[in-house]
Amino acid sequence: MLPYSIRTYLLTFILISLVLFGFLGFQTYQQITMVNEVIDKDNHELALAELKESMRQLLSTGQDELEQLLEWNEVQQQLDESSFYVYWRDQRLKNAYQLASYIDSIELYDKNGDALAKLPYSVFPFVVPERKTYFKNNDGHYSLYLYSPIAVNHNKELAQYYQGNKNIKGFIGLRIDYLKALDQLAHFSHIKYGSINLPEITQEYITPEVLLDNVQFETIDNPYSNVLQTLVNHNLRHYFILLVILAALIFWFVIQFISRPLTSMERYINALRAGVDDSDFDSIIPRVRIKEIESLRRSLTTYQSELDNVHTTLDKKNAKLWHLAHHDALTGVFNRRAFEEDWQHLQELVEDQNISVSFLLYDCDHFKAINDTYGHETGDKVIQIIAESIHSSLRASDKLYRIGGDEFAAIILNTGLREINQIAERCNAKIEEYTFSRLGIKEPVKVSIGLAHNEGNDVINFSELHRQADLAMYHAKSSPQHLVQFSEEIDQNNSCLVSSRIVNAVLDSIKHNQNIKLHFQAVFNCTRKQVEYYEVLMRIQNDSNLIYPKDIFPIIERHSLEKELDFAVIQALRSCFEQQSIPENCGISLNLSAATLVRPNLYELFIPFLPYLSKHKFVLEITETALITHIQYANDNLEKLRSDGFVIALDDFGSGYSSIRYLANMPIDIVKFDITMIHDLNKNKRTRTIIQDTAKLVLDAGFQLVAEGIETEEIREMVSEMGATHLQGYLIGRPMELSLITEKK
Amino acid sequence: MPQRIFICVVLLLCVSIAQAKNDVVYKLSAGIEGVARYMPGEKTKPAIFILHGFLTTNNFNTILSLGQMLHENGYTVLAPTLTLGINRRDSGLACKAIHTNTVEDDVNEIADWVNWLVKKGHKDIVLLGHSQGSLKQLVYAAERKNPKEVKLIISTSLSYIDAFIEESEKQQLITSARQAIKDKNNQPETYSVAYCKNDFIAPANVYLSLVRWDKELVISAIDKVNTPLYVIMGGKDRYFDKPWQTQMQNTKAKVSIIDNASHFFDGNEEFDYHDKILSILDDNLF
Repeated sequence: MLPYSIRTYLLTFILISLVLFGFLGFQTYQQITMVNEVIDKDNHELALAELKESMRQLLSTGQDELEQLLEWNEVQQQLDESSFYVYWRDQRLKNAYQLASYIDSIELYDKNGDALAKLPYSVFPFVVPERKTYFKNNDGHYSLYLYSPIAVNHNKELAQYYQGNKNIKGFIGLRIDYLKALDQLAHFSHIKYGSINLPEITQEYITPEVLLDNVQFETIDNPYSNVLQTLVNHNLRHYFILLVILAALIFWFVIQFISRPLTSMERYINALRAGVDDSDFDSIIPRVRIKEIESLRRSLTTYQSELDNVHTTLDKKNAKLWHLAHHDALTGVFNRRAFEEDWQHLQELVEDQNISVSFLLYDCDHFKAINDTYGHETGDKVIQIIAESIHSSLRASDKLYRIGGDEFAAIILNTGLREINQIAERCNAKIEEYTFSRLGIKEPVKVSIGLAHNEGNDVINFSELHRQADLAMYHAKSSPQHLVQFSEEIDQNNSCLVSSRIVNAVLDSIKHNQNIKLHFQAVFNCTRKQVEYYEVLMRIQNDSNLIYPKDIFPIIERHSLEKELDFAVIQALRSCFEQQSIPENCGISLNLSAATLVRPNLYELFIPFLPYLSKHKFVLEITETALITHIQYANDNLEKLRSDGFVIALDDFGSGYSSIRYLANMPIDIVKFDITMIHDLNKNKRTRTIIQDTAKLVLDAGFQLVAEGIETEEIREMVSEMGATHLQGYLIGRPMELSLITEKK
Repeated sequence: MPQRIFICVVLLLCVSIAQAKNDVVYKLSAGIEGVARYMPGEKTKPAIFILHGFLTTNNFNTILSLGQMLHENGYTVLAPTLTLGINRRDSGLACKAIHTNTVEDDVNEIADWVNWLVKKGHKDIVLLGHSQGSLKQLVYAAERKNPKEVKLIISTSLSYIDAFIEESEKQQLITSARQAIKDKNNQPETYSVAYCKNDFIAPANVYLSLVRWDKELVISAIDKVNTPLYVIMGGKDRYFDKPWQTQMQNTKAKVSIIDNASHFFDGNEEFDYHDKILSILDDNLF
């Protein structure tokens, strides 16, 4: 889900709040309206009650007025003497008696009910009607007519009031303007002033009840409900306006102090990342400065600055690291890693483009002997000089790689063969010119150069360049010019050595730790007269064939895969132990290369074998040359292994030089005379004596002595006489698979 | 002050109650009924016929207090209210009311009441009038055959009708009235009589019956009376100017003047007024 901006959330929140408030306000308004309706209804009822009460009051007041009129002597006078009645009624009445303003007119009737004056304009009937109280519609004006009999003895204090016409002296009629009377007499609390209205009623004599039923009026609004509603409406409007203003303020505040600063921070960060100039930051920094944002911005700037410094430092270190990772420390030229990467890149380039590639492989002749003879320091200097010589013979654009101990490679693009040869010859000339005797080297130092050339974008041929140069270099060693260009003829004559099939099989086997086949050759204990242990000899299964060490080790050595080979063999042997393929009490002897011997985690490789040491003698065979390079590391590893129960054997004793010197300092238990030394027993007496004395020396020093190469009974007898404690050779037993040993057991 | 008001109210109430108890209704010769207050007194003492003034009733203050005083002194009191043509009239008649009774009609009523007293068995009757009541009793005494029972006449605040009207205006009104009679126009007109200035509503004949009683006619009536006549006047009576005083004193009536008394003998002069009347009655051995 995509994130929404603060503005969107805020607007949504404000909108929801306003809608909610509006809904609540509407509900409140609705409820107030309902209450008002109830109040109005009650008000109407009360108004009706008031109207009824006013009617009652009017009738009562009318009767009182009649009573008072009866008390007036002049009314009696007119009944007794009506000669001047019209004058009295029309003139005197208006001026003399304080008639209420709502009383329109009075009429007097004789005892028979006839009006004292029957005038056409009279508003009263000429005869007293039966109904003594009624309303009448006079052109839209409703008047109340009240009639009362006048007793003969009207004064109640003087005489009793008699019923019946006999005692009626006359009648008095009163006409009251209904609305005017209401106006003066009634005080309505619930009827709006002036709103009482009477519709047309056609009846001649309208009873008060009928009149009341037809009265129309407007009720006075309940001031409290009106005030309340007005107040609520007013307040709701105000609160809504306030809410809107508040919302706007909050919106503005959040935008100004949160959203915009965050946006400006984002722009600022982007600017920092883009490397914008400091002077341009002013346009990014918001006008409203907030302390926390400013602090954050400063921190960011400082952090960015530090980050830049770190990046710069890292870049430098990376560059340095890359340089270190891709350059040979000793010579300064590109190393094997750089070579592998460039070779891969070059392969891709060749696929796409039509370029010629020349591959030169340089190898220092007899470098091992020089190193062994004159020491590593001298050997290093020789390598440096060779590298310098090769490098100086190349063009500036050409790259030189140290791909092995004494092996260099150069890749030259889009250059003709003739120029390539010139480059190679220049190299040889420079090396030849150098006076290596300054380093104490008496022997001549030569470099053999193998040249392979690929014209155009032949990818297949390109991938063969290394092998071809290798072959050429191999042949260059025996060539007077020490420079050989690869040809088909060379290829045909050296299929085994550099058979790509075998090489691939070996490399593949080592890489994937597969197809490793272990053969075991017995080592016979002369004292116990039995096989004490078996030396593990590795083969590589290549389809249906086995590749033997004579083919394997050159490849391993060339590719510096000694450690990987040892590791593969150790894993294969471990599997044999874990599968319990090794017979009980059957010892094992394992060869370790110099590279493996000095690796820091050598001990961890043999930890899985510790549980088996109680039932299996485990011998680790090392060579003299393995000890020479890092004797201290080798000693430390071997001591640790010996302390856990491993037995150390010095293999190929006598094949190197200064053997005796190392015996005293090496942590070894067994010395193995190699096959050449044993076969030299038959050489001559002198050699035999030296060998025998050496054997005695070894035996007297307390070492076990294993004699290799026991192939005949004669040799066996000789070595037995020599005092060898153990025998190994075809006569004792050929290397065989583990399953065969198990069967034999 | 509030106490005095309270006392007055109580007294009036008492009087009203008493009045209610002593009211007499009498069918008069005119065919309508009149009302009078009758308070019997000592049989040895005469009955005093008290008559009120112009347009008032027997409840007029002067009449009330007189009646009360006389009754307290043992006299029988009869104080009727002239009907003025209104059956059982019991309230004053306004100037603007239609006046239908002539003086003669009033005198007839007086005669009716005197006869009533006689029928009641009163041997001695004193006519005691106030203002126009005095005049009408004088007219009765002068122009009617008085029963022998009428022994004394005391006229207080005796005055003539046209006391407050200019002569010229009076003449004009008289002329107008006479013309109306001549024309047989019986409609009520507006006249000026006594204090009813230009608002006395009456037919012409009624007006003329009143207006004829000027100074001269009153003096003439005094002279005609055979019954002893006493006249009591207030020294401060507006109706009683110097000429009228002189004219009165020159008649056979025995005129007494109470100094500082008004036409109505109210205030402190009421006591003098009452004393004078009692004195007159005593002098005449009543």
